[in-house]
Amino acid sequence: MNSFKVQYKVDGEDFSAAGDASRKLKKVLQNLGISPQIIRKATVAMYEGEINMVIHADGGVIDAEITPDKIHIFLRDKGPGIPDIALAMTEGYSTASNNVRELGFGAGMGLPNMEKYTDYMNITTQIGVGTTIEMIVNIV
Amino acid sequence: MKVKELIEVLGLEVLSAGETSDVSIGGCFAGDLLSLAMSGVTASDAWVTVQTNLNILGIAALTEASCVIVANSMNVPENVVEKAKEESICLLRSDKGVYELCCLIGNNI
Repeated sequence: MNSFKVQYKVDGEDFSAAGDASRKLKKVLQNLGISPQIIRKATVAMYEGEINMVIHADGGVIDAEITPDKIHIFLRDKGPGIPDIALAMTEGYSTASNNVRELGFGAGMGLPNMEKYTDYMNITTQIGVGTTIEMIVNIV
Repeated sequence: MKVKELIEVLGLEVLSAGETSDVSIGGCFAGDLLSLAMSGVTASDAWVTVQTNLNILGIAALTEASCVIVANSMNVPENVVEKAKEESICLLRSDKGVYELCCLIGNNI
């Protein structure tokens, strides 16, 4: 398998469409013959990332590269940035609105889930500029 | 037990039949926090919830749940039903509560 690149735009206005990019990536991974366990890890982490982009950052862009040994994902947004990454990584901590919580999100599990389901995660953030999250899920 | 048999035994209302009526139900997950559901629902599970917004369909598709069962006769918006039909997701509803549904599913699958 050669390297395979895909890019998805996440629409910040449309909460109901959040998850579309993850579903598209899932199809790509299935077509590439990646195992269901690996697909699940990558898509759960990416779905959480998409939801975060919609809730907090008015959308963004996701780039994914699939190579023979890993799925490499970059989530880039131009949102408000994360003031305290350690606090944001704490399970149960959330700054989501009540409106978002009523939809079943905003439980403070997004970033912890993303870390749990990936083999590597790195957050780069700048207040008022945006956030980039790099995630790697190993295939082998 | 297959989804179509569960529908009959539990008298579930079929909002969207989907393509999973012949799928055997592997287990059951109950919960309304979508982050928990997306990591807790495993393929072929029946997912019991009182959430009815569009995102339940995204999670059902992602996790490959055999069906989503909306408990307590919660109102399901028309656009959610339409989207479930479009996406061929099996969306069911019951007047029973979450606990009762889970017990019945557990006793029948």
